[in-house]
Amino acid sequence: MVHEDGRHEDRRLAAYVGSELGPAEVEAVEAHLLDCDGCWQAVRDARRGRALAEAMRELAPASLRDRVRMTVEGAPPTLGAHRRRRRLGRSAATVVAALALLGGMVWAGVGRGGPDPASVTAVVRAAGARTAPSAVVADGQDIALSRDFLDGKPVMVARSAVPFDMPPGGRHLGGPDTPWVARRASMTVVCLNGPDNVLVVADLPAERLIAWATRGPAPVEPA
Amino acid sequence: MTDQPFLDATMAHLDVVWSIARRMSTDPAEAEDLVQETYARAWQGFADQGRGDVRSWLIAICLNTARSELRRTRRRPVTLVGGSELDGHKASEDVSGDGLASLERQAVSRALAALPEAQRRAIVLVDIGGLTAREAAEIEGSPRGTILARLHRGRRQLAVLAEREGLHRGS
Repeated sequence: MVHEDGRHEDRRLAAYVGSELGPAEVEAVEAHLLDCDGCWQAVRDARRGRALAEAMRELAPASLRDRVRMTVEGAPPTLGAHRRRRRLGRSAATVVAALALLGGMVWAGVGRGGPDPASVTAVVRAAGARTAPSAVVADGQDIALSRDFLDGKPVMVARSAVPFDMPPGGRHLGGPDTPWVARRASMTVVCLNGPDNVLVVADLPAERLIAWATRGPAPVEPA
Repeated sequence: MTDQPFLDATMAHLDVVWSIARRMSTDPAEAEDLVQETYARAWQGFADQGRGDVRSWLIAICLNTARSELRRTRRRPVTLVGGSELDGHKASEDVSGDGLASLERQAVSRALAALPEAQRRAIVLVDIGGLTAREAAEIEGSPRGTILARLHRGRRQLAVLAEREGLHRGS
């Protein structure tokens, strides 16, 4: 051991504590530790620190395992980066259509009467909850949930492999394949179905939430 | 490309990625987002990953994603990890053990958060992530000796800080 070179000593002792030395080096270090109180104490402290850090290993929550699987299974690898807001991105035409409609143009297609789809009810309920789950199952539909923030307010983002049904009173922004919007109490609900189905819910004006949800376009990688 | 080969290769490392994400995030909800983002990015790059070590690759993505988020939100990890740990843990599903164990974890978490960034990252990669010093060095872009030096100082400092937090030797 070379005591004059403190850094060298640190490295050797760290490798010793981490069981990264060969047998001959271990023997040399241990022979040195018998005669050097300073290094002996350093090794004791380092072992204690390592044990404390190792105790911080955790098992992932079961719900996270499901959420990760749903993310992967619901996201083909050709869609480009998966940053949350980019995932919500759509074509510029969709943005234009949405903003134009909000400017006073006609709503094309209005949801019919009847109860809300269970999926919409579940996501709206999660959006209003103080602590939301990371996934829910509504009427057999698996829905992954995550929170984002817009203008300082929480936005519940829901994803599902199955398109979200439009509730009564909901309106498409254009044709039947365009995003739809609905209001539930103070909450605005915006849905972008297909290819990955996304529902966003927040206590925000519809115009603001639509602009945020449709911000894009998402980068598309060559097939 | 189907997603099954990706899931087969990566899901076995979810616990490691989660443990690291917990140390890089302010609360369990943020850590879950980080893990989800890590796997989404990994899925995007899986075809180019080749036959390298999947665990190291995932950990590197997780750290880079955490860095990106920190840059985006202009927050510092030292304040993130320590601050709301207690409240975050209450809402988490991952609280394990009895109350004493939970308090000990919070104390160690605060001690980790108080370490210099480079030392904390070395400990997160090696002692929590289970990487060798050489693997950590590749991720950090630093010489192995540098990682070992950071580890040694960080471990010793962690023991001292944990003792100040009330975790006595042998507890």
